[in-house]
Amino acid sequence: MRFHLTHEQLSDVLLEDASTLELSASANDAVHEHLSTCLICSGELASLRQAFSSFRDTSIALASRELLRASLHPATPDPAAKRNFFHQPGYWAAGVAAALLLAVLPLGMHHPQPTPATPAVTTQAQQQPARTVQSLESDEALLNDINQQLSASVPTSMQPLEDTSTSASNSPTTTQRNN
Amino acid sequence: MPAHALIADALSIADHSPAATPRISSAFDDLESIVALYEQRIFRFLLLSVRDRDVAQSLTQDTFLRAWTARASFRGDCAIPTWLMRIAVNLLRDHTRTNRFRFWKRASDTAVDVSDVANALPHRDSSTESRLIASEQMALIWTTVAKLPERQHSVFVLRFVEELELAEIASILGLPVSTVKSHLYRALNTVRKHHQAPQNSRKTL
Repeated sequence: MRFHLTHEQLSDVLLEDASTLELSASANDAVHEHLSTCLICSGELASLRQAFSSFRDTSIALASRELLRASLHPATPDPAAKRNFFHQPGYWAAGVAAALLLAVLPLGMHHPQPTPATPAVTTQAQQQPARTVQSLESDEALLNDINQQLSASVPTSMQPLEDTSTSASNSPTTTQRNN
Repeated sequence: MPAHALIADALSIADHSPAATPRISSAFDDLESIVALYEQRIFRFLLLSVRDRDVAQSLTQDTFLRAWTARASFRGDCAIPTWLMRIAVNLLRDHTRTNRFRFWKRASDTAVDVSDVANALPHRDSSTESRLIASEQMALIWTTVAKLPERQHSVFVLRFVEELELAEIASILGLPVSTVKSHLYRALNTVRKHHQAPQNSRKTL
C-alpha cells in the first residue's frame, strides 16, 4: 500500500519559505524524501505552486492595470459618498419609517368601525345616532319626492305642456282672444 | 482621485490649520514617498478583497488618510507597510460588515470579474492551448479564493500574493501565528479541492 503526504504536510511544504514552521528536521527529511520518489505528491505540489505563482502574477498585473485606470478615470460618482450615503443610519431610519407608514396607512383606512367596547368609543357611538336620524329624514324626504314624481300621471318634464293644454282647454276664449 | 493627490490636499490643509503648529516629527514626514512606495500594495490587497476598483481606491485613500491623522500613534513597533496594512484590514472589515447591499457591488461598473482576471494573466507560453488551460485554472482559483471566508481570504492573499511571513501576517491581523497557520491550512484545503479532482484512492503517509 502506497502512502501519500497529508494535507498538513503538503501545506507545510507550500509554506516552507515562511518562517516559524515547526517541522522537525526528521519529519522534514521524510517529507522531502517522499516527494522525491512520489510522482503524485510531487506533481500536485508542482501544480499548486504553479497555480499560486500565476495567481500572484495575475493579481499584481490586474492591480497595476486597475490602479492606472483609476488614476486616469477618477471622476465616476464618488463611491465613498455613495457608501456613506447608504451607511447613514438616519437615511435608513427615515426610509423604514416611510415604508412602515405606507404599509400601515391603507390598513388603517380600511379598518371597520371599532365596536363600542371602550368609553371613548361609546361617546363617539352616542354622537352617531343624531347624524343618522338627520340623514334618514333627508333620505325619506328624497324618496317621497321621487315616489310622488313617479306616481304622477304627467312626468315633471312634461308639466309645462300639461299646464298649457289644461289652460287651453279650460279657457278657449282667452286663447282666441289672444290670437 | 489618486491617493497621493488626496494626501497632498490633506497635507496642505493640515499645514495651514492653526492646530498644526506643533508639528509632529515622525516616519510620516515624507508621506508622499510613503504613498508612492506602498499605494500599489495596499490597493492590490484591497482590490483582491473587495473586487471593485472604486471601492478599493476609496479604501486605499482612507488608509493613508487614517495613517496620516493617526501618525502620532505610530511608535515604530512594526514596519510602516505592516502598520498601513493593519489599517487597511481594519477599514476593510468595517466596510464589509456594514456593506449590507452587496448587490451594489455586483451591479457596479467597476467590479472586477473573472474575464478581467483572464485578460490580466501574463502569458509566458505562446501555445494557445496552454494559454487556455492557464486562463481556465486562473479563473477557477480566482473564484475559489473569492469564496473563502474573510479571515482565510486575507491570510491567503497576504501569504501567497504579498508573500509575507506568517509572523507579519499575524501582526497585521492581530492573531497568533498558530491561528494564522490554521486559517492557511483551511484555505489551502479549499483551494486544493477545487484545483484538482478528488483523488479518492489516495492514502496518507
